Amino acid sequence: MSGEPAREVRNLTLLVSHDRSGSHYLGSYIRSLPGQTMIDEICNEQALDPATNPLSFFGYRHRRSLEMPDYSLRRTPKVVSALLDEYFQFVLDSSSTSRAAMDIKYGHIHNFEAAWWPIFRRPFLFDYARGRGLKVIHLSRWNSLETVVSNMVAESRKVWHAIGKKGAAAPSDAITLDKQHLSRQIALLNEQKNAIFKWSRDLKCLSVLYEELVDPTHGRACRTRIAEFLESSPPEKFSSPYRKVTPPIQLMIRNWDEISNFCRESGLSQYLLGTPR
Amino acid sequence: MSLHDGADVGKEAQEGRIRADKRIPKIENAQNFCFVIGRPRSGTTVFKSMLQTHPSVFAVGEIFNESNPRSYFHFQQTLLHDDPCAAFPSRGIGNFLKYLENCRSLACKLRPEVNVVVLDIKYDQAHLLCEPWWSIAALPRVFSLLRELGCRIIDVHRSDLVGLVISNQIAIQTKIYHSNKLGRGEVQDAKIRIDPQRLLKEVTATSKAYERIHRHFRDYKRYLMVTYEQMFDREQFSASLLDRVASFLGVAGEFDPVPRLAKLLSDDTYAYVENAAELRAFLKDADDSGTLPVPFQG
Repeated sequence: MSGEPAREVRNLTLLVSHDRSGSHYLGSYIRSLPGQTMIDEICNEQALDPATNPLSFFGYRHRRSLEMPDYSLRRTPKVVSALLDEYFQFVLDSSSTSRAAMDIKYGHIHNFEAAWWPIFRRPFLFDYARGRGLKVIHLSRWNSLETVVSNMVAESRKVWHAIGKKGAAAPSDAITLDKQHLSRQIALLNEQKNAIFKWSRDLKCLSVLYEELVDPTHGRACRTRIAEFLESSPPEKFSSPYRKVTPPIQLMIRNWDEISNFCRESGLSQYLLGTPR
Repeated sequence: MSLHDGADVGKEAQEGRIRADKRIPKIENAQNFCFVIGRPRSGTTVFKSMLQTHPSVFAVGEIFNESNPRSYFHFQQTLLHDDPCAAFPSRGIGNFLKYLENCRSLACKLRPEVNVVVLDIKYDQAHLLCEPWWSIAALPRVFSLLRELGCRIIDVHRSDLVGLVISNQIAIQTKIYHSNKLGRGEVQDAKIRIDPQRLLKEVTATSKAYERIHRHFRDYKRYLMVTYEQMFDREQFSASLLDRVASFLGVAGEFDPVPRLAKLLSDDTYAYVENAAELRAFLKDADDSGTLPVPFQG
């Protein structure tokens, strides 16, 4: 990590999360905080079209590469740091508030990688965040079984968020699961969550569980903690436009008996018991 | 070249591509492309220079190294002239297929007798070809892509991981990567300090990368693993290695066994380390406590 930290860039927070972890719900909360802007998935070409949306990271990198070919050709850590400094500054300058948070999914983290970076080393973005003093909110969902099932149901319906006219899933949308595939997906998700926990240890990082965030009793305290972390004040009332899409998994898995027995036999029974407090 | 549904993608790809493009790419006669993969300082350059001595082989060089004018990124720049959106990661795989065809055309133009195009990818650069979405726990996308396409892979390992990491540190610090950068009669005589913890981290990461990449390819028939330590026999490439490689590539045994590059360092890499005694003691403790990875055997 080289170069002087850009002071304003520290006003940026990275919301690092996985699919089906409630990042849209949390994003709507952050958006409701005074002085705070929330930017959608900057590496999702469907969310921010790089050809038309100036905030898209890919679009920005492409435009700047035309003037600075090194941004695409010579991606040393120093060059990538300079690009990220510029881009994050641009994002902050484009927002009407002094602070901004941006949604970066686990699956997008590799887009910020520098050249000559060994496989399985902590991703460059985390080194950058440490060097620049960026805040990170790591949002994850403790119940990996529910998360994976929710993702599979969303994939099958092609509906990822219940907002506006998009309806929540119903038992008629239930799916039949393959035990081995489910088990692999849970293991993969857990591996990724653990990696992010490990990589964020030396960062200014607040870890948030989805289950805490949306809990009817404790959710408010969790959200207040988030507001304080972002140096903002919590709103009097908060009501997210996002509703929960997936009904309880027992209703969404056709072969529930088989799957629940499999979970008990495979060391996954904790996910059948609900969230521990 | 095209994209089609359903093919042998391997477990790594299935896991990595949760939200990525699920179509499987395809290219004609993919077996004519041979990718030499390995960590830096594992002998890929000297190995590739041996491959290049064969009349049927054309080598493109390190395709993700910006100092190579035939790199993928230079090709991508040319695509941008016609299509300003070509740089977006969602185009990455399609661009890469075009790049491979371009390499094949170049090889045919320069050397019409060629039927194997060799391309190098260092593990540490492999992530530079990416789709917008890819699992952080999965190997870089390019490894599953090469398998999906049906390309040949030669994976160069070095059993002496400590030697590999020390050698890499010497190269980075002195900026001398190969003996051809030294003057006549000159030898590498640098002395560098190595952080033992960092060395252990790198050794562990390399061991994990070897194991994961080998696991990804082990049931793939167009995969060959070679180790640096078994490459040479009395100052020449070993005859058994050359036979294996010729058979793997489906070419006659016409490789020149004389290495085109001299060794940069002596076998005792500790001789270049200022704090060699400290390092040896640290590694002995790590070995005794089981934290030093066992050399990967494949």
